[in-house]
Amino acid sequence: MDEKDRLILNIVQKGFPLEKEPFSAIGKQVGLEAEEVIDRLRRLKDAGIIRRLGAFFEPKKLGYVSTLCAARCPSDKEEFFISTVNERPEVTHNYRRRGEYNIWFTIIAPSKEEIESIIADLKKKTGVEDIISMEATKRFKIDARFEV
Amino acid sequence: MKLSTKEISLIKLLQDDFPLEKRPFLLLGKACQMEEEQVLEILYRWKKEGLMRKFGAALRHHRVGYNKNALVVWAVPSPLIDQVGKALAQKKWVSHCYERKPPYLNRYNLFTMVHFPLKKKENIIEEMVKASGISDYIILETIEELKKTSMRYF
Repeated sequence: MDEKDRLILNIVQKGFPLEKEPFSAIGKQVGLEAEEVIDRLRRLKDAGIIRRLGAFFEPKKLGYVSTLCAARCPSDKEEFFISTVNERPEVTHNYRRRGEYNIWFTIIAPSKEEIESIIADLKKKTGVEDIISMEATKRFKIDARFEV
Repeated sequence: MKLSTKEISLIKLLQDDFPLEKRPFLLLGKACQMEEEQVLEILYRWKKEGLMRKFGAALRHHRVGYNKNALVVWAVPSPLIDQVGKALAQKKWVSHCYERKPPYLNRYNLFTMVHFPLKKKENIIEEMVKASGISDYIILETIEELKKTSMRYF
């Protein structure tokens, strides 16, 4: 990654230009041709530095509900539990954490009932009984941008 | 919010990889029977209305120097939740800050996701304690990312 890559990454995280020729617009800001911006973005994507370029929607406004779940999973069940959880397309994030509850994941689904039934299904399939679901009641911030 | 069939197909397309082409919005428009201008208008509107939280790139943060992260949960007395939530949200290391119910372990109701270079951990937590005035917290360090994707709607 060179200085131009860094500049481009900061721009596409903060204010991707919503105009007809966005890559020319980015190019103007960093002193490159559109083609070169495109090449660099493709390279950053292929290298895995960019996870995704596109639109990020607000689940609530699309009629979806979300929750954060924490599971207390015994180590002998961990592998199966993780693969069962990850299999669900409604689970978007999953992390192993240090703490009493060791597996933490998010669920997004069209209704509260659906979320409950997903959790019930996970319990039944894996035998992991202690899964808590904590819904967000107030949001103070969501902004996963990283200055590079 | 009522979405048209065309708008729903645009949402579906925007969940895939964005076309790295000179006129990407023209291409997207073609794929869902819309003019380029119309696509841009809709995107502006969605952004204004908050239906679209962000348009742009999400990075793999551990690849750009933010190699550690933790979920830090705080026990905040309910009358203070707005004040503390806002104070912690201002910190640049904090990407997410939510009040959740029920509280974790019946106690920890404010959730902050914190990203940092490893050597800065102590300072950052200290700074957050100072900003929040809350000393009852747990650091739930991330040991491993097991899955991270974007939701596919519709």
